[in-house]
Amino acid sequence: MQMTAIAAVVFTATLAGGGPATPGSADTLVPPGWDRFSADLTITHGRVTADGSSTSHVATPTTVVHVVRTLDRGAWRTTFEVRGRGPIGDGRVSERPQDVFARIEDPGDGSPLRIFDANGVQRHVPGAAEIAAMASRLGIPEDQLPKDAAAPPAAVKGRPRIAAAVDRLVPLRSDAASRKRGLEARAGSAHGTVRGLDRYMVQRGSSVREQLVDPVLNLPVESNTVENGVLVGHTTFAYTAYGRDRVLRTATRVERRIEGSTDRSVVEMRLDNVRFERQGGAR
Amino acid sequence: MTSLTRRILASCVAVVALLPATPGSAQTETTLIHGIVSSGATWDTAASRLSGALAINTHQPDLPWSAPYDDQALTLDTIGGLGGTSVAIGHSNGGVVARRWVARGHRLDTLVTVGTPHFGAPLVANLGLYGGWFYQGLNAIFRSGDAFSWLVYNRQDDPSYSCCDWQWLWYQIAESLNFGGYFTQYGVFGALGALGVTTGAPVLGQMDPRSAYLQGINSGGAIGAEAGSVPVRIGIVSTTSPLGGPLRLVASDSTADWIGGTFHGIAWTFYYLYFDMSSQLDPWDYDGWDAADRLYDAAQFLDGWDVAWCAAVSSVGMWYCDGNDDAVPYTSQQYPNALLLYTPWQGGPAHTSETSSGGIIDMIQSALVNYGHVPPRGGGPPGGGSGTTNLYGETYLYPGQSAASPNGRFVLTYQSDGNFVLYDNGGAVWAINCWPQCNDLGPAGHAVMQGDGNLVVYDGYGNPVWHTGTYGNPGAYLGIGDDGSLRVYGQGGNVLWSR
Repeated sequence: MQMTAIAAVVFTATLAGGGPATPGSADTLVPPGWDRFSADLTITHGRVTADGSSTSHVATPTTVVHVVRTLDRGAWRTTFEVRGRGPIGDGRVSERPQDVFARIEDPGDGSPLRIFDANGVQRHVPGAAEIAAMASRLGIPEDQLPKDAAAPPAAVKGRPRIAAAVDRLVPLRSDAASRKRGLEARAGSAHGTVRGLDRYMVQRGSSVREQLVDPVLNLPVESNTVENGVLVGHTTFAYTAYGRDRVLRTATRVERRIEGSTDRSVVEMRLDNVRFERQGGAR
Repeated sequence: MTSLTRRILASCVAVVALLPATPGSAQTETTLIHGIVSSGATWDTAASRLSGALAINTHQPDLPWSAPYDDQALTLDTIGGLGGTSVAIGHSNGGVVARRWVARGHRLDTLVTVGTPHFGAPLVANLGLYGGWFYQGLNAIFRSGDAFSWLVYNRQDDPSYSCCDWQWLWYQIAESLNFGGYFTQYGVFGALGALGVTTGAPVLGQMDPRSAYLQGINSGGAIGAEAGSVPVRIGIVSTTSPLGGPLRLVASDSTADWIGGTFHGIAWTFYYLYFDMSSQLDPWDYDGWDAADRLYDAAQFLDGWDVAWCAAVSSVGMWYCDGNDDAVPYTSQQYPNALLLYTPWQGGPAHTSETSSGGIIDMIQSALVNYGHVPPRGGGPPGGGSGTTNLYGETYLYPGQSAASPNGRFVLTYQSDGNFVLYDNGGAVWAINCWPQCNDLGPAGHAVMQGDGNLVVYDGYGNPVWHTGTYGNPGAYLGIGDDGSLRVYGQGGNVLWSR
């Protein structure tokens, strides 16, 4: 992919315009003081060649996850539960190793995530001591093990509150002007337009980021990253109307050039059945 | 003549004769042949158990495993004491070596292959493709580590980005990346070493599923000649759990389960963190999105690690994942035109454990007794004195394959027309009443004595067309008696069904 290919990328996102809201819809879709968020999240992963054709059948299958995030005594508790997975390849392998995990619970207070398998048994990610013990049991000489990818930090902070993120997921139309100010503070003025979208450019070292922005809502529609003259990342965001004064970021599609290859990995994340509710109770 | 009889007589029955061995008390000379990156000692456990139970005298020659198949077969001719071999058991490449020994003129009564790549090992052809995938996956792990390190040290106190507690995220991620880096490399390099596929050995070129060599030895003419020299041919087919991928070749099942399961736990943790970040990230936060995307790449690598190995083992080009023993796909382990015995689907041992697996040794013993009619040690008739050939759970008969009573008089055949027929010296005495469904709705399928105790005939589309209704009896078996009886027995010997 070369930089010149950017303009040829077909924009497929469905950005809702600033027209009248759907009859009956209202701001109550995000009620004041909401304390429960739920959605169905569909994640698709694939790998394609430079011309866009799929390279193999071994990619992880499409997965649907039900997410519930609830405010409870000051902490946002989250459950992340698998609701369905596609087949691996042509489905001939009946025991699917990727099905061994079924649910994650995040207490939201900084304590470790809780991971459960399909039988409801809690599992955990081993720490350094367990890794060393297993390596010893397998007879792996310590000096032959790969060096640490990174050392974990010494201290752990608590989890931040999440409510502010609502404006990232369902931004207000009325915040368009402030979004533009923030964007220009970081990227300067627009460098013209591409396909009717404002074009902003940010350079850092050998990396150039191009952001194509809806000129009315001032929301990003497309983002491209070029390193040393080669397009290495291409992301699109899709939106739909959500109530009278908001839009919902329904889909994100990320294409990334794989190091050492001309292939690209493609990750798509789509949100459906998004609900914000106020349940009350202890906060 | 009934329509059923006409159909039986009209069908072209290619009976794979399972003839009784010559009665007598002499020891049956039995040669156990090892496979790639191995030696005769790999058979120690099996030789000890089999020679303790059966009237056999075992030999475990050491062969030049890296040499072309025919050179290894030639070595068998030059090793003293093997000339009287009437039973051969070959593991992995040893099964092909035994077949080539037969092609050189050595006659056998019985040949049993175990986990043998009769149609090649796709892994041999996929090394470059899999290596590229693996390298890129490791790269994804290390790049993810770099991206989060950068965020932790440059963002933690920057109020202009309100997204995430990068330190908390890094704490969740760091050790998982270490774990993934450690054990993916250990598993892959260990497995490749155990299978010898990176050695450049001359035999590897012949193991490529596309090789002219394999096409030649599996041609109709070659198989026909082989059948003429070896009346009893049996293929034991193992499929193991895909969880843990290559780890199953170099570690115990429990270790492979633990490490493989942990990989998926890590992947799911990363998927969750990806969601957590992406739902909070400022759309303008390029570095945050970059880190999130790299985290997803690492997750996808760990989540797909064992499936990718499965695909590398299953098909040239890594196009699909199919049942295998972690090294050879089950389709390749199917000895052409032979009786096939299967481990439970994805419940058998991995390739490197097949020669010492108690389950496989039991299957070999059962095959030698029931089909090769090797007498047990201490005398007595084959089959434990019952006068029956027993087909235990998960025994399959494909079109043209048969099993015979110990005296050879009664032969049960699954025909290419889909009918399942018992013959008495060539005359049909019983058949399933499946006409016209036997073959009018499509290709023939198979008959199977299932692990649940039910004897079932399936058509080529996988639809059951006939069964004994004896399901719910694990451990049950089918007996073909010298007296023409055909019965399903319960584990305790009680008759559950009779023809």
